[in-house]
Amino acid sequence: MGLIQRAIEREGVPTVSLTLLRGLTLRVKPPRAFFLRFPFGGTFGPPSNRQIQRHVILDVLSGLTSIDEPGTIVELPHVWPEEKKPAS
Amino acid sequence: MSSAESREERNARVQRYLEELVAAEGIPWAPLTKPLARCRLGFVSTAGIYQVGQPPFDASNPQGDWSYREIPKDTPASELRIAHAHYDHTNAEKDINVVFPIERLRELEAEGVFAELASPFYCFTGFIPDPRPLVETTAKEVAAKIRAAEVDAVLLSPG
Repeated sequence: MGLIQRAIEREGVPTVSLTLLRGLTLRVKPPRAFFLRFPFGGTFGPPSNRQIQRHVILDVLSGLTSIDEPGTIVELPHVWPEEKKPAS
Repeated sequence: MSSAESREERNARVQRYLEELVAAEGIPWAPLTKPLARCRLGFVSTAGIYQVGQPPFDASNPQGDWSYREIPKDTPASELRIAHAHYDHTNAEKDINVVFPIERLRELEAEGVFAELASPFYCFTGFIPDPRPLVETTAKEVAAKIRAAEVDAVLLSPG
């Protein structure tokens, strides 16, 4: 994904990405990225959790203006919610 | 690429390729020149999403699949499918927005967070053991289409 991001930025269009693989992103060096500790297949947050999904998008978009150093990777604080267990 | 290549050899080859690419190109940089609320926002995903009626990605090909699908921004979420062998689809099958937040993006567009979503969205699949064909063909092609469509900024996300 970072390689596609680099190609778009090289065309003169600003980009920002979300990554779950910080090590790979460090090597690919896209211009602006946010790292999130969510499981693979859970990129934007849990199913039907509109609030988290929305916050993640808004946080990542904020990087278009807040990041001014090429190659920056910012860690987001979101935590995958624990499954609610039925009371026993 | 030899079919007898081990995982270690493949990782080392990809690592060398990335190092050479970054050394040659540096880190590309294009500053945002207007407020987000006035931007046409593009969306590019590598979650292996395709629309019913489009050919799925070839998730089983050991060479990877560097093709892409164009997904109109008004596509109903119920018409999206996943072809990606390298992540657990359980959550995305309950709610496609988990990996491809098409409904969240339309809501933010309606709220005016950005001026407009560019259409189509572009979707690749994530497992690409040889990055060279992607870099030399389809990534370039999609980047040129995005530029030609006068997109102001692009959000990218993985599967």
